[in-house]
Amino acid sequence: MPCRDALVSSVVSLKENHSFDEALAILDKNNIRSAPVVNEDGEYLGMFSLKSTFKALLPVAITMEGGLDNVDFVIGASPGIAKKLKKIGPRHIGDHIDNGIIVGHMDTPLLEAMRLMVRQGSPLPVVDRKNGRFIGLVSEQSILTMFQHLHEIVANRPAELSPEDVALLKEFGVLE
Amino acid sequence: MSITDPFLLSCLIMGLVYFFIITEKMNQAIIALVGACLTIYLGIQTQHAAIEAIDFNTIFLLIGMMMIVTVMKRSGVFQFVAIMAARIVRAHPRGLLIVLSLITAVFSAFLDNVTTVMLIVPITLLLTEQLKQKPYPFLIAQIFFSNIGGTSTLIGDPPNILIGSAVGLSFMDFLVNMGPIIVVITITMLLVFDLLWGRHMTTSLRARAHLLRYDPYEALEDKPLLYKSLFVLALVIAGFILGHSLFGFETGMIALSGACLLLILDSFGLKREERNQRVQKTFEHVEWETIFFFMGLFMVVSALEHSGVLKLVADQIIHITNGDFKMTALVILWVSTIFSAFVNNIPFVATLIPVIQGMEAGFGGAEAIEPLWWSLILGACLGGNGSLVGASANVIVAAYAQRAGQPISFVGFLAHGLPLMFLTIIISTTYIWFFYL
Repeated sequence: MPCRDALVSSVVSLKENHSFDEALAILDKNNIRSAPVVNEDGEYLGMFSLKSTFKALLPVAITMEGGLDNVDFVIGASPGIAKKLKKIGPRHIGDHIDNGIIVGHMDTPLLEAMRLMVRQGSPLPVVDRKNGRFIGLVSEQSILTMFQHLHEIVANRPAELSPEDVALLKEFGVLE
Repeated sequence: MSITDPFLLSCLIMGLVYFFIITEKMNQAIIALVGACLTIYLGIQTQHAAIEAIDFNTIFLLIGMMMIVTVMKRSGVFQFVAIMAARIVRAHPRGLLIVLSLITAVFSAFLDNVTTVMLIVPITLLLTEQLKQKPYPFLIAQIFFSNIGGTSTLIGDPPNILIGSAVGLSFMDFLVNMGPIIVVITITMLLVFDLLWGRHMTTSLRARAHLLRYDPYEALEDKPLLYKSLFVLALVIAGFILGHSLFGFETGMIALSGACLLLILDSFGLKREERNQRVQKTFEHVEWETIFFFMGLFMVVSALEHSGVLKLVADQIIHITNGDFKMTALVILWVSTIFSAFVNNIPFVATLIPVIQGMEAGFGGAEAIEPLWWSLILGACLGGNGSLVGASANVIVAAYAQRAGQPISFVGFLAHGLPLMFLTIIISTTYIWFFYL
């Protein structure tokens, strides 16, 4: 079963020249925590999330590779984090996109998609293998919904299953 | 001379190893090991001779110290010391530059320089951000003082470990001979850094007040572990000093037994699985690449020794300097400085050790040539400050600065590094001249 079966294609996306203020307002309005960032041609650039914002707010000594493991000694006075939120508000999100996320493709097996989500979190961006365009997202919810839907079909409407699926299910004794 | 002559072959192999180390076209450990294998396959030396050439005292000392630092790091002691120091200078950036430099020097005298900067740079970046200071002077100072501090002890810098082990110089020998000059250089450089940057630093009272609210005791993540590791570290250093002078124990075994003791203390009372996991984690953190780089180098250098190349080089140096001991010492100091400023000093020192040992007969015995060792150590260690690629610690600081969005450029560093390095070498030349020649 590939990713396309659990794909959510109507997704809010962001542009790299959106400001932090604009991007955060879009996330807030749509009640989501992250969104894909695409360029003019619809090519996928990375994900922007509330986590990306946190990363931009924290001192670089903490977020950089090999940085401090623990900062519980900074009592009360954080180095001006609230002020920093105001400061980064008008800046473009371009430099703060998370482009380290491994993406999926339409034919990526669902098992692999689930493994990736367990490792790097949900959702998994799905990108066209050939032209790098953003296609949609696979999320934890979309996969679980699809599984429940399948259960329901097998239980109540087996006629809707494709002939290959029926043959396979019979072979393994799932269907009589 | 035919191409199959061991003399020529061993030179070619060493040339190849140096070429790849300098151009960074191949991992340094791999090329050193490939060179070592070639010396055996081409019949320059037997496998037995090659393995015998590996100085396991150096190898065990490196592994033991790496393991101790790995365990010690978990206690949070480094952040604790940095924050305490910031409080002592009342969070004034000028004072902070001085105390962080001193901490770097002291830590790198007892720990590996790379480890020292990896621990001190992140906390420095946090403190400077809090004080709204550019981290550049602090990072440059940490590069300098990690190399300066490392010069002062037997375990401070890999060239010292190599030389100490090969020549039989003890921990106390290093402290007595290198300690005074390093104190002088440290004070001079602190003044220079203060003059160049420190005295211009100002910050708001508010930023200082924020920093003064940092609680150093919260930085200590594991107090019992801190006590255990300080106890073991003290024991190991006492072992380096007393174990050697009283019983003739070598540093490698002392460091390794210290590491074992710390691991026993650290995992005491834990369940079997957890205990094994801790030990495995500690072994994983040993920098095996460095260890195998050393092993490979020992074997390649031994081939040069077997084929008589090193003896020839030693004779040539004596010939060029007309057998003048003073001249030889100064040539070693300055050549090793220039070389170490741009190239990894470890292969250079590993090659030069047997060369200098070859001069023993010409200059009247092992004791008579001791000043040559101090010249080599000062040149090789302090030379590392000449450029951004002069020492591994420099490269690490530069990488951290880059990640923090405060890149240090090669040329920018050269502009400060080279003149300041020459200053330290002029001081060293004066010291060697007046006290040893």
